Amino acid sequence: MSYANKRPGGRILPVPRLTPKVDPQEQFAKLETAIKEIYNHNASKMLFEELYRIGYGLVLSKNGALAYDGVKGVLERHLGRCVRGDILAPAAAVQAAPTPANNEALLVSVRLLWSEHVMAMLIIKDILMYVDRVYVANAHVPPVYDMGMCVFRDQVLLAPARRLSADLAKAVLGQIAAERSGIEVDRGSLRGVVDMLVELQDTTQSGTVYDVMLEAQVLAEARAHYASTAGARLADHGAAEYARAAQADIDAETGRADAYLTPATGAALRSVLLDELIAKHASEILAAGLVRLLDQHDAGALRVLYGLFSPLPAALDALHAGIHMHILAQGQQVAGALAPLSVATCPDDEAGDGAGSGAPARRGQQALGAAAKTAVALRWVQDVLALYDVYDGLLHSAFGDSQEMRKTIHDAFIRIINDNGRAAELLSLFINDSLQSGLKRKGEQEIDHLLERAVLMFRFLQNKDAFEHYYKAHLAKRLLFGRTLSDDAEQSLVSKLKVECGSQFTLKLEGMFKDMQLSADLTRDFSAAGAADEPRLDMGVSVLTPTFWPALAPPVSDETAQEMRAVRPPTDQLRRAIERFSDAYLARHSGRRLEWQYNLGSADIKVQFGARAHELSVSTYQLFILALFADAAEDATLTAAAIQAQTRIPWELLMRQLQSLACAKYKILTKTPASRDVSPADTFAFNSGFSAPQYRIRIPVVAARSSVESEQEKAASLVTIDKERQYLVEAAVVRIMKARRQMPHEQLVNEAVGQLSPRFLPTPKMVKDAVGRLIDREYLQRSPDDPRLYIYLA
Amino acid sequence: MRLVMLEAADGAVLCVEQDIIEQSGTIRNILTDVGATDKPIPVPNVSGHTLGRIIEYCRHHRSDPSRRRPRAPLQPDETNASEAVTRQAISQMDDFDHDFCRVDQGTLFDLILAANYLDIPPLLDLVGYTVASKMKGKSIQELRDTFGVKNDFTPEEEQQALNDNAWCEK
Repeated sequence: MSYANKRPGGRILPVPRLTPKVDPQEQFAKLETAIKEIYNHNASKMLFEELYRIGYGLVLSKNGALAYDGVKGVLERHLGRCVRGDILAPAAAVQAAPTPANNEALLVSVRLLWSEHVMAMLIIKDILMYVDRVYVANAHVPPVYDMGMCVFRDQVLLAPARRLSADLAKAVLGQIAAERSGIEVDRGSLRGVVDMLVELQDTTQSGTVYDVMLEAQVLAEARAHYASTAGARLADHGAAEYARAAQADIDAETGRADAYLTPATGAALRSVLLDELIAKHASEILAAGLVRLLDQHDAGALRVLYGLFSPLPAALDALHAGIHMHILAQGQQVAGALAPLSVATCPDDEAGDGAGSGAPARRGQQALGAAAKTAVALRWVQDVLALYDVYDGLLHSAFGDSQEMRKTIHDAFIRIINDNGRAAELLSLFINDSLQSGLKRKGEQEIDHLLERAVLMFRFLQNKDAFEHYYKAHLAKRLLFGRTLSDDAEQSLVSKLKVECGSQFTLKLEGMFKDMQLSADLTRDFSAAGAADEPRLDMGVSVLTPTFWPALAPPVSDETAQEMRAVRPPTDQLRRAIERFSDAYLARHSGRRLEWQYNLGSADIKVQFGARAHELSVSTYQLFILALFADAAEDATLTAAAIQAQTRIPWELLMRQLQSLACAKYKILTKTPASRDVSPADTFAFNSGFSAPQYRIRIPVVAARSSVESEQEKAASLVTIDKERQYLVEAAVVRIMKARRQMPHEQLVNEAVGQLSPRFLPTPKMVKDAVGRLIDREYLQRSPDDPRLYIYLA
Repeated sequence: MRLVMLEAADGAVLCVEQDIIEQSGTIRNILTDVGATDKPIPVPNVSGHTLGRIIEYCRHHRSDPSRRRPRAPLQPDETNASEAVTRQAISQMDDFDHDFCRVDQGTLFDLILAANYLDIPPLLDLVGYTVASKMKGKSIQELRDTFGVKNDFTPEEEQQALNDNAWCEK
């Protein structure tokens, strides 16, 4: 076929051929020479484009196979010669004696051969680009560069009979082992050889030569090495040192992988080490020193330990379990100090703040006064909170704020708190104490932190309704007797509780605050209006809505309680003031009834004792008694019976009031006879000779400071709480049955428990009893077919 | 901008800016390996006239950066992809390209060989398309006349070839 220019007229002329006809063998010989020159670093001697044209010409003249296969042969012969000359000897040396020096020699010579080959192949690839583009695609052979790589692999690594690759692997592993034992090796050679192995594809097509030949052995040796290390180390080291050493090893190995292995190997080495050093010995490590680290709050060591354990699920579980157990142990230690609380309280002095130790103790234990018991209780709360702070700190500094660890810690604390049957009461006492005096010298942040912690403990409490019971009682006393240090702190705490439990919980508490607020307003209006009438009397009234306030009466008999209602102010002045307030209030709010609780009030009176005047802080009852002497003659006397007749204070209470005025530290009245007991015939007179250093004197109020309940008090509280709970359980059962119409027993119990658990944990028996009561009252009935099934009666 | 010198078959030396002539894969290749040199690159199987035309072509398309990169090599199963690429190249031909191909057959065939040697795929597509459209719809004898091809089949060989390709006629 020839092609030609078309001349006008259609005649065809031959055209000079630009691609000369040449002998393919001759052309190829030139190519072969060129390749040899390239390997001799004489690339610049030839003309690149001339060689390119040779390749082009060979392909065009259908001699592509000659070019391709011929080049392949040249490479094979060349590399074979190089191996025999430069590689076999060092390989034999390694085979015989794998010392670091021999290893290094082999690695260096292989690496040199490789880098020269790569450089040459790049040039050859460019020269034969036309061959690549046209011949290779049609003949379905690998591109020239890839072919060169395969030739290298086959000539150097796989020959003769794969021995060289074994020697090479031996050399590499030998260097790694040497480095592990501290000998310095040339990382560059290793890097070069590994890069080579990574670039070459294995004949099985399953990955690179590195993957198939070397990686598995590297990992196996690492595993063996660290398995033996772990055993030896555990014998000598405690948990902290072991963890640090393990971390150091892991860092060293991953560093090594980064330096001259592959990232995949690095990750694999890390998990091998974690497995051998940590996972297989997790419980031993923990036993060797976890407790000590926790006690010493060694955050650094714990952090290292946690970092090593967290990738391993089984080990991490063991760590969680160990910490949980230790917290419980510490909690039990703290609770050990609570033993005195179960012993009966011995009576305090009338002064109310002596630590009584006189009463003979039961079982050899020292019986404590109420105040001392309260101190013990507060100590417990503080210790638990302090312990929590320690672990919260550790959570942040050592355990990376892990949610699971937080849960472990919280679970332990929930156990600690709820194992203490008095926890609700003690927590309320603690808060009470803080709000009365404990916060005195604390800054705002400290206060907030303390309240947060208190609320946290509240969250852990199972019997939240018990807490509400105690908290209401303590709050009432604080509000009525003006003992709160900071109204802001009070409000802040109530709002925190609201966030925890919803507004229903704090409804009554807020009601109490509101009553106090309204009372303050009322008092202000009242005194503004009536200031002119009674200049010597300044009266403040707190009006309490009964639903909000807990029962505040002291534990007295029913008839005493009845008598208390009959108490009247004995003097006209007082009577008028009381009546005026009642009238004004009832005029404003018709339809309401006021019942005066004189036993809860307090008063400040200025009393003249001869030349000197003192201000006395007394209870309302004491005020009534003293008022009888106010307008009487100086040496007037009154019998106790007469005092009772005028004031109508019940005898039990009157006795104590008279004692506090006449027989205690500050004798405002003189008593005849001067004995401690009061009988109706005893006479009292005003003690004008009284003196004391201070101007303002407090005559202690009968209602004692809030303290730990005695066993009887506790029993009484429990009865109240139980009654409330019964009611709640019944309400829950009715609610559930009304919605579902019928339900088997077990399911009902589960649902009821679920609904009630935010407030307290009911026992299945409580639910059963409630169901029994509801059946009696015909809210439910048992199904006639299945006695375990209940049906709701509309 | 570096100037590259090319020496054609008849000794003519043509100068061209590097970024223009880098549309040729072969020249790219040579420049990478040989580097900066004062000597002109010999291109002895392309005539001066043809080389000049090719440089014109490259100059026109100098602002398309994709021509300066090699096309991805084909995998055996990607024949459809190559068709798509060619079809796209054809649809992008503008007036210059069409005028470029209005030359006599000899020049056309020279252009094909040169585009192949110099590895300029868009040009190869263009010229190949031109020739292909000249072949379209013609009978065997018409093809022989157009391209000046001598019939050197024996009658038996001719019959054999017709039979082998009979399926095309349908």
